[in-house]
Amino acid sequence: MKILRRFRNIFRYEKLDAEMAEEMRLHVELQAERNVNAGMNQTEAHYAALRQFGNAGVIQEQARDVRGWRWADDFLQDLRHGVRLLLKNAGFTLAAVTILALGIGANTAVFNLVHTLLFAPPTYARPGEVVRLQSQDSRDPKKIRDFSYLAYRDIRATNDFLSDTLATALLVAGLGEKGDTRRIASAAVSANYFAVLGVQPAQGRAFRPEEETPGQASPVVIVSHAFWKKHQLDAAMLGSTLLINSRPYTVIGIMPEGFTGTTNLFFTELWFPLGVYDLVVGAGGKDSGHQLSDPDSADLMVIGRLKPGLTVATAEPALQALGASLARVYPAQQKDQRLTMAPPSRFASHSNDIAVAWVGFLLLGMAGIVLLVACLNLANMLLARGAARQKEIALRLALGGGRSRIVRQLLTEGLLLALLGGAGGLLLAFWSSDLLSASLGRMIPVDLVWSGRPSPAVLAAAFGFCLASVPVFGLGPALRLSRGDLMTLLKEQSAVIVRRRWRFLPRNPLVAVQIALSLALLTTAALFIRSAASASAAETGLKADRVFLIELDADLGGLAPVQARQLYSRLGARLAGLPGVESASVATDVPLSGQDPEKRVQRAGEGESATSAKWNGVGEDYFSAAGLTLQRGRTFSATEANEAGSNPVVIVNDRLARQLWPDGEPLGRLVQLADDPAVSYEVIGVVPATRHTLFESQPDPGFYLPLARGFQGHVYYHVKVRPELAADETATADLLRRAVHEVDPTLPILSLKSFAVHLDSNIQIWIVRSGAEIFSAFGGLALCLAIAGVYGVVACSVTQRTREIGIRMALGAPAGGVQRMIVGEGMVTLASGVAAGFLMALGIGKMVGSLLYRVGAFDPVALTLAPALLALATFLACWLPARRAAKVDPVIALRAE
Amino acid sequence: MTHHKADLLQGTLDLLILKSLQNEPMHGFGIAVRIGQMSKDMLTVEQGSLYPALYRLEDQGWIKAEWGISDNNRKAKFYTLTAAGRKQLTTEEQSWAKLSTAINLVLGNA
Repeated sequence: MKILRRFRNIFRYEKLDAEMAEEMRLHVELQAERNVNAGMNQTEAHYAALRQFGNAGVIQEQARDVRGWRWADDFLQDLRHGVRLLLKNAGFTLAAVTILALGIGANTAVFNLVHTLLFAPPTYARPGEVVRLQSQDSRDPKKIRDFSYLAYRDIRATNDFLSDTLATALLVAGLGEKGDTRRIASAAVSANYFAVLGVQPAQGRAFRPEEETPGQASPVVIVSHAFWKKHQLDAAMLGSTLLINSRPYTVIGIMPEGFTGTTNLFFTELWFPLGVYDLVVGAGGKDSGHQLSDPDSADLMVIGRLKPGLTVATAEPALQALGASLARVYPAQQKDQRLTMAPPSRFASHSNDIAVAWVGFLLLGMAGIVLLVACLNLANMLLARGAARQKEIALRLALGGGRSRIVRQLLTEGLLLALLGGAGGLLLAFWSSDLLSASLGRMIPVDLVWSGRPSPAVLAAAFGFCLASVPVFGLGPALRLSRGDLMTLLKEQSAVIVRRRWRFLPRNPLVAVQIALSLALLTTAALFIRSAASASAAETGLKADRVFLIELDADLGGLAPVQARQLYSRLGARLAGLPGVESASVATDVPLSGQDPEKRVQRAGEGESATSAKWNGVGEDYFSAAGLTLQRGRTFSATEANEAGSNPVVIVNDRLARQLWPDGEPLGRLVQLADDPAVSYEVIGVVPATRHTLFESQPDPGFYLPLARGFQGHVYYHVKVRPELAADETATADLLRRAVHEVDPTLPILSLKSFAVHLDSNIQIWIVRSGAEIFSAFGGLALCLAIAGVYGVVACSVTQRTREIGIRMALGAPAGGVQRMIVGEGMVTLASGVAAGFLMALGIGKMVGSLLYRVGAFDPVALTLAPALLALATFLACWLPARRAAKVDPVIALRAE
Repeated sequence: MTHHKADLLQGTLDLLILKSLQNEPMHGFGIAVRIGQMSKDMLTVEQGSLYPALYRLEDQGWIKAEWGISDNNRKAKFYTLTAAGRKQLTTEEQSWAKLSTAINLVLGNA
């Protein structure tokens, strides 16, 4: 209460002060009247009254103290003084604010990202109780999978540790009219999904139990608030019909604002009942796909809510009991499987939260270093400027100003600077966040819940960075400046001739620390740049420099597989016949697409030889179009590629061939797919292996099926064009798009790009590249700040030491010697900074090692170049002022004082 | 300070102010006069020092201030005892009584 009243008083300050003066004036008047009544004359009475009242000024001062205004009074005074000083030194203010804005901006941007990724709470109720169950291969713990619908039903019915259990599968659905399909993140969910998550539709209803049954194709959909917003919050949304994968679905519900389903970064925009899963996925008519009701499928994420009082640890025995009973019901599927339970991933179905968290904290740490360097730099600037203010401060101390008051005033000035810097930093942060999210948006076809818009948490963080930076850059200088060595300072700054005993210690430790921190960042940046360079040069194994990729999905167009196969065959012929096209072929996969499906494959009749391999269903001209040279044997014939009933044949890559027949001839051998051992495929050719993920050191084993045998609706046409077409990407893309639409105007084109662009948009390459960009930005920032710091300090010291230099030269020191002395002192600072920074860089290098691509943490190139760059820049920053020092004319220097 | 007939003990000014406000609201000058009257001019306060004390009491919530019109038709700030102030007055009166008894005992006057 009292605090509140005092706080309010600050704002009523002027009014209360006027009232107090008025009250006291009245008092004096009344006393004077009394005095007149007692027989004094007017003037006498007035003065007597004043005497009786006492010293009004002192009393008012006391009264203000009582009301707690002293603090506010001082603060306002400091603020006014600070604003005047900052305006007077506009150049200094601008420099300081810019430095702080860079530091605070970098931190706010990174915080914005990390906050969204790691700290923003999930959008469902009581996230602490929610766990995800998975099934782990006990022979190969890296293999973790989800469950079939049947297994989910059993888990839900028989477990005794979850209060309820939901099932969901994340999907991508094609929304919209035929030619213009938008891919949209969606989820097929069990009927109790919303109830288990504790969030009900804001409008309309949730799904009914009967809508969950596999094959029960009730065409209903629930949309997110964000989806609704994209349609201008249309009041008619509820009950309207959406065209999804070319089928009509009725909107029966709209979720409340902010609900994003079970993931945080990726918006789920549409929810379907599990009953339409097969329709949405398009698996309903697949030759070799899994329907939802298939016990062999493992497409459903199973998420449950722990019963009150249970934790992941205490529920473990119950979980293993559940696993044992599942294994009895599904002996084939659950053989050698062990159930695991953990809080669900915040990002997507299969990602490593710990790795993401780790990157987040790494980024925060890096940004923190930048802010630290910025603060140290500013501290230096304040000290240098303080030298000019020392006389002012000494005078105030001499007149009785308290030291704490002076420190407080200097800190208030610092706070002003920090707030201005923070405002600049926020602008910078929003701008860079937008850049980052736009660059991520190019990579991922679905919407991201992430923007540079101010959220309360981010604003609070920016303000926190401001407040935290004030003591770091302001306290040291304030304490040092207010120490005031009165007499020496009040006399002209006569004898600032420096006595130094420890010549090998850096003259300015702040600068040395800055250099060390910058070197650490620069080295990290260099590691990432090296890594990005080698990632860009990564070989996929395809010679695809003149290849365009057209990504199509007949499932999203609502075509049945038979029609789709015919369509693809016609389209292949049309594309191959275009002028300027050398060859064209369809394939279900392209290296580094991020999907890269696998199948288990075995020598015919030898189940124990089964091994996982990448597979690709391709057309007859695939190997020439994709630039993959056949090592031996032959490629598919047109009949084999297009007719499902033709001879079963397969082409394997050399890795798989070596794995299956370590010392034998693969051609003519028979292989089977583990999930369909009825068909034996004859190996007719061997091709070189291709690389599907950047971080694997070896290309993957893989095999190629004719498209007719390994069909899926989602395909990539590989179109190899002549050089003249390859040069004009836009025109060629138009040509290809027109050709696709001529064959079927309703077929959705998901993407159309050159192979080079495809590689560029690979998420792993993106990570390495963004790492290089972000760390280069941080490193560059830190380098600039450190260099500015070195230059400022050396230049300032040269100015202060003009007299000393003058004496040295008058006594016969050669100009070169003076220059060497100044540069030498700078180099001592540099050397100590580099030594410390080098150690830090080694440490950071070790920490980021796992994120680097084909570059060791102790990469000699990075560890040489970064210090060399830093040393060169520091040398220049010392040399320029040193040259000025060498030009000091001793006569002028000595006369100057 | 020679005109002080008896120096005020630390903290007693508060008690005197609260006491003088016991019966009716008063403005600052009125309080000064009342204290003089009540003590038969044995106690006079340096008038100005009333005000910091008044603000302190207001800050404690024992009195509250309102603008009003004085006897001779002037705008003046009137101070009123609050309920908390009344309680405080009783407490302070009791502790003063105890203190003065104790001191009298020590001085052998009782």
